[in-house]
Amino acid sequence: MTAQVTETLIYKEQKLSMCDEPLALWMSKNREKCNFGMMSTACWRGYFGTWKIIDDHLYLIELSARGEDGKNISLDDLFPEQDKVFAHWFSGEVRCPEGKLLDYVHMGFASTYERDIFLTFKKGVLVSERIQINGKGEANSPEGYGVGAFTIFPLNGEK
Amino acid sequence: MLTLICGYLGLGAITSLSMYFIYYEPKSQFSSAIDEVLNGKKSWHYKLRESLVIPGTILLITVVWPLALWMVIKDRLDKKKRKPKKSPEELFAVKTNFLIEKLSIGQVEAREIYLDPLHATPQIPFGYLNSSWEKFKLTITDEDELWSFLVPKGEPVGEYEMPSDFEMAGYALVRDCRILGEFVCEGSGAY
Repeated sequence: MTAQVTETLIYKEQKLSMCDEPLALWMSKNREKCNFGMMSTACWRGYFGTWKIIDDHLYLIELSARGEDGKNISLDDLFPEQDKVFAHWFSGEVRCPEGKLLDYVHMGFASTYERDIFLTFKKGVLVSERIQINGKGEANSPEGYGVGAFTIFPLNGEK
Repeated sequence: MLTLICGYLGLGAITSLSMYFIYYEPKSQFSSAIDEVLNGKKSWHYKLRESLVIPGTILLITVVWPLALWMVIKDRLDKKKRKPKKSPEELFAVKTNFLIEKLSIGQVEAREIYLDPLHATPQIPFGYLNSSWEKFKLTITDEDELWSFLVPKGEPVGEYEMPSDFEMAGYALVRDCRILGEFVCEGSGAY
């Protein structure tokens, strides 16, 4: 399995790479709305989401996907007339890596970085946060989350 | 003697071609792409060997078809022995020891309305999961009980009993002390 691109989380005016998929539970209950075509081996989930923590609540504020027919899918297609969707179904911890790369693993979200910010939510509400220091990267190590290599798939009907 | 050999090989050819049509699945574009990512570009001799696999297998089965048939039958019998079919009850993540509290539908619906500082979440039970809840509710009869539950992380779930990598919470439908349904409304992964 290829390393996966992250979701984006905006927290305290900072854009973080989030190595978790808070939409997963909602999607598993609304499969008929989520016929995403897979665009790349680096994005098995088939969409990119942008999340924001507002007043300690986790919101999905943007979504970009492509349907199996090649049509663009946005937040409005999944949640009509909603521009911010409170993820009340999400309970658990998300990991947001930061800093220089320590160890690249070409699978899932397994690579490690200098720091991990862990945010814990209960029913979509932020209840705690902690920072874990994993080590110090070498001077020439890449900064920030990245994916080494991936294949892009044509969607049905595309050449 | 020649007739016997021809008959044997004829049956072999029928068996091998039947197996080809039943079991052969052409490589999809997706799996070819994955293969290329994992193994890189193939050399000509690799491609040649690969193209000989299917005709070679058909030829081999034509010759030793009783063995091939025996292997197929044995494999099916073994699979049946290994995997006794699970009841729907066993496939639920929630087990009776994870049940917490018996509640009425009204109590459940009252506690599953969410406070949203932006006032965007529908103020109906289970908010954005309401349609799934309504479907689940249709399965509840007067004899049933509703229980809240919490399945801890690491518990074996699903047909293959893989340890769940997240905690999940929700409501279970219980009848005569047996779990007949579950509605997971809280967790950090797909379920």
